Amino acid sequence: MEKLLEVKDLKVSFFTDLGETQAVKDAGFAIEEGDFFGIVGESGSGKSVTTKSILRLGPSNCKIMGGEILFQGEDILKKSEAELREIRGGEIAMIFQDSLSALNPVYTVGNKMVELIRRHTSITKKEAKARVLELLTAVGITDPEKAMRSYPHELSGGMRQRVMIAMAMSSNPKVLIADEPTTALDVTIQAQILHLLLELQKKNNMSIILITHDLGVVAQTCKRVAVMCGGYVVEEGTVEEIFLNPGHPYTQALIASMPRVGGTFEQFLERDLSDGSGNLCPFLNRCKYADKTCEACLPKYYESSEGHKILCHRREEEK
Amino acid sequence: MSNSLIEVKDLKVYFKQKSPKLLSFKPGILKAVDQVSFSIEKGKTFGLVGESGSGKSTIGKAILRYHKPTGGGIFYGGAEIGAMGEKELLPYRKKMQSVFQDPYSSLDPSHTVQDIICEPMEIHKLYTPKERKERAKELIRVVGLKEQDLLKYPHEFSGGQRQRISIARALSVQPEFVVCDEPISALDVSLQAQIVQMLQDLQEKYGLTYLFISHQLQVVQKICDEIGVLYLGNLMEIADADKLYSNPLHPYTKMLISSIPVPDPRVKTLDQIVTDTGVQSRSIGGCRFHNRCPWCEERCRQEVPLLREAEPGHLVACHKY
Repeated sequence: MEKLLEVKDLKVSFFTDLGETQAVKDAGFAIEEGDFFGIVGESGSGKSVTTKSILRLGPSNCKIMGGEILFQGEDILKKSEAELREIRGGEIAMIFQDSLSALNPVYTVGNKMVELIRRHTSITKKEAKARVLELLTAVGITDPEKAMRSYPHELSGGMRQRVMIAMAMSSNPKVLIADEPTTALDVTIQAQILHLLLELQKKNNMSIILITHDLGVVAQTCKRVAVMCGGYVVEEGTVEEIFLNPGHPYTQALIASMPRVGGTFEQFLERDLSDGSGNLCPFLNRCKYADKTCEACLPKYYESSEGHKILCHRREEEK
Repeated sequence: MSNSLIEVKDLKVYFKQKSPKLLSFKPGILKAVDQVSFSIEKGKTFGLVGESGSGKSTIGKAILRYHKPTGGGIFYGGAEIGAMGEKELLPYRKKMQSVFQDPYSSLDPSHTVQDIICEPMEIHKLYTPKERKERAKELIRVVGLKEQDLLKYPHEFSGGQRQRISIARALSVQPEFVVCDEPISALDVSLQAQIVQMLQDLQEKYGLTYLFISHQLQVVQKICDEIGVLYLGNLMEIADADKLYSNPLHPYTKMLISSIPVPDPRVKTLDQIVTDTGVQSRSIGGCRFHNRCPWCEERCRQEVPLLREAEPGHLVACHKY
């Protein structure tokens, strides 16, 4: 299948008074049309920075140092700000974790959405309003007219996230980036929102990139997964491969440390903030298999099976 | 139940609200917690779970007497603390401490870690200043940080480390009872396991009693002996932790447990979830849950179900049992 969005050797750095901090050192993955792609990792692993870089939404001290981001064959990084504005919120839309701060508090939901739709298309206010009602209904809001008249703070967390999704869907995007969309929600509401995302994805044949640290969410929704650690994508593969046959020690540890109903909590992953210092394996300090080769140089990717790549010195046969 | 440390009987916490009707001076009343009863045995952990707005934090705060209860009683080792005045309460305040969810806003940014840990001891006039410093040194090691960290400020620490500082502060006055209000919800998965492990070790070491509040059911099961499920201020079910998960009785508990995403791609549970269209509503009569309940009958709309024993040690508030 053709690659819709491809991130290649992405490097992103932050510049502060203390110097350069490499947040993303080498991130690469490819998303196909109609894909449900998950990016998992601990906080600080660079998962949010990577996806924000796709739309160049990073803060002002964040700079993309290298790599390519190909969207439908064209490099987004080479586009001008004006060209990018058409893609941003157009063909690639994004929703965030904190829906309260992502919505403007002084506008009603309807007001904001009408403005958004008219920004991307040339239709009358009345037509735009009809479109808003349609979108709000599509995301499962039972009383869309009331929701349109509401200010963001008057809606519940689940409702706000639905509004965010409706806004993102307004331009019929090809790619929807969802950055921890359900982390702040209750489990029951989380299930509803995930269900909605799955439904919309199938109906519109769009691709979704889901960033999360909850492996349960990934297992239930994603087709393919990239695991990030210390600024590197350390493993990428289908969800079945990642969960049932994890190749990287980090992925294995991550899966073992998950709290699950009926399971034990004994194994856990030590957190190490010195992760990824130097040009070595980001998991080096925490890895139980680490040896001299690991301390000498950065490992290279290898494929354990078709489309399942792992960044590790240990090969399949050594296990 | 002679050795229960905390006993809550028919607790009610109501808040006054702006009147829902225009030009009416009669204030509205929000029943945050309504007729809640449970008890916690000494040295055990009681968990409270429920969605946001269910009143779990309010119960924790009422026991700590940050809120004055509207009705009902709170007993600490047999003494009724629900109606006590501030002066009488002071010795009890020393015995009860809390750890909060947000490790960023719960530590004073202008204080060093040492000041933060010593402050409760100063308030309760415990030890000499020198002894307090010694104790701070000891506590910081107990929670897994270094002595040098005492002179640092909160912003120099990560979320998990800050939560360790909060725990050290709570322990400084040698409490018997600690309310942990979502202590790990703001942390990474890998850190959650560590903090839970530490809380359990500390409980064993100091014989602490915990009230553990969380919306993450997977986590609660690991640390709690008994769990109460709250929905809109009412207790729906109380059972032993293992029993609650292996055999949930209340439809709300069933819904909560089935909503947890299973971390196994072979078992797709998301499609099977009965997408409930109902919303939490405080204004409906009868069972609060009836508009979201798959088993709803006429009786549920009329009559409020009472919490009763369905099986030994397993209480449930549902007409079905």
